[in-house]
Amino acid sequence: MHKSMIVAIGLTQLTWGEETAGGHARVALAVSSSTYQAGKTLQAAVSIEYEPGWHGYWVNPGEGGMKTEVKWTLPPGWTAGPLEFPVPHREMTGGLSCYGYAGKILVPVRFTASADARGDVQIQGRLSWLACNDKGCVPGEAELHVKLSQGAEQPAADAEIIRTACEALPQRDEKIATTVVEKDGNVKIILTGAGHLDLEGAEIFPFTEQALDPGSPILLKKSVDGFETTVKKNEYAKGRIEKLDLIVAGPGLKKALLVAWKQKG
Amino acid sequence: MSIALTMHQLNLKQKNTMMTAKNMFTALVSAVSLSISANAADVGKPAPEFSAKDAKGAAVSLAELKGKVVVLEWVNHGCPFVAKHYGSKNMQKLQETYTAKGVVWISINSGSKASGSFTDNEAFLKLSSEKGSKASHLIADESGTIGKAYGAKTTPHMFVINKDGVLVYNGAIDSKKTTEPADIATSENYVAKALDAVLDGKAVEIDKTEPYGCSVKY
Repeated sequence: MHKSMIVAIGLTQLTWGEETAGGHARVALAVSSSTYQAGKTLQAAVSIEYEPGWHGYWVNPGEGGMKTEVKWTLPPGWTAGPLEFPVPHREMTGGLSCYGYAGKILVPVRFTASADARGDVQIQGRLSWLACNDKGCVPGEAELHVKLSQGAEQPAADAEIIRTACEALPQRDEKIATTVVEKDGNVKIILTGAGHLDLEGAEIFPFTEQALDPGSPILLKKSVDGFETTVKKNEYAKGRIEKLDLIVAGPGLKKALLVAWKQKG
Repeated sequence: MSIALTMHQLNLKQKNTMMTAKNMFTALVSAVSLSISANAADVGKPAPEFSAKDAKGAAVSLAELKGKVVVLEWVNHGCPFVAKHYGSKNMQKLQETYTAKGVVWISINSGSKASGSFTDNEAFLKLSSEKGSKASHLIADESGTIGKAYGAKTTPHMFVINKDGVLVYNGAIDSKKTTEPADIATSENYVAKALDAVLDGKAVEIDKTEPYGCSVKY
């Protein structure tokens, strides 16, 4: 076990997690305000910085890998939303295709204070992840913690970068319609109504595990109906694909898209 | 990946036939281009043949194991997913339970020297003994021939072969894709279920799952 190098990553008023137990990453919990209001939501973010040469995984890790998870210990009555991961990228670990991250990422997460919350509180979390390179994998675990006091919102030093991270999250576009057709072991995905967007060469990242084969990048091409791609069905798919939740991201897109499709009937 | 395989390692059926250099090259290229994502080991079909020397120098061949139920376990003790099952003694218990029922359990390390995950026979024996492995055989599959024949992707990656040499399970050891030993107790162990079924003459219900683990380092 070795200590990670301290790297200036732009988080100022953060609380670093304790020394990580392996994991080749430095993690921390940042808040947009060090004060909370009862019954209201507080925007925070988990910062994960993987050491050079190592990468971690998205919610759909692809083949192999392991998703990053957190177990929160919250004050009574408080709730936490899900970790909202940024757009991943696709890479190979040995012979396996995976979806994940290298370098530093900020993962927005929201906490909602209980209606009768009062005084100083502490939020704790146990983050667990897997970092891999071509030679092997190392699991990581770290405690995240932040102290909050009750009071009017005061933007903390990290408020700005957390806001930027939130804005970069994929978002739904109500104008876009999705069709999914299965045929001969392949899955064709067609997006229509996206004429106002440049989706040529945009890449699809599926949240939904074991639906699409991750063996190659899933890239959209312009077609008669809009933009489409055909990808092999995941060999572990159980029967017909009932739903697909996707991220669409590409150089022509200012904001990544969130696409949700469900089988009709 | 080195293509400098020797004639000895090619393990061709036509070993005794005179081969031209061109034939050798073609066979070599097709052997190394076998993608690990090809459906090399299909459930319901005869399991791919292999023969090798185990870490003690004994000859092991699937053909000669007809009449026995066989488990293939891809292993790499440097992998945290393997450590999950060995540190908790989960894997050793499975090995012990089922070898006692006549199952032949073969632990295989498909790792080349170039990839850094090769373990020589002596080291493999020592490490396995230290971990309390109850496997019947250990095979250091340095060339990756057996791994690629089966499409072994991760460590662990588990295969169950019935007495007739048919592959009846291909996939993960259990249902939770984590490195956390505490998850074992609440996971469904697909290998135990498959073995119980096949030893009982019943069909294996869950015969294919996505294996989880570190990538096999060919």
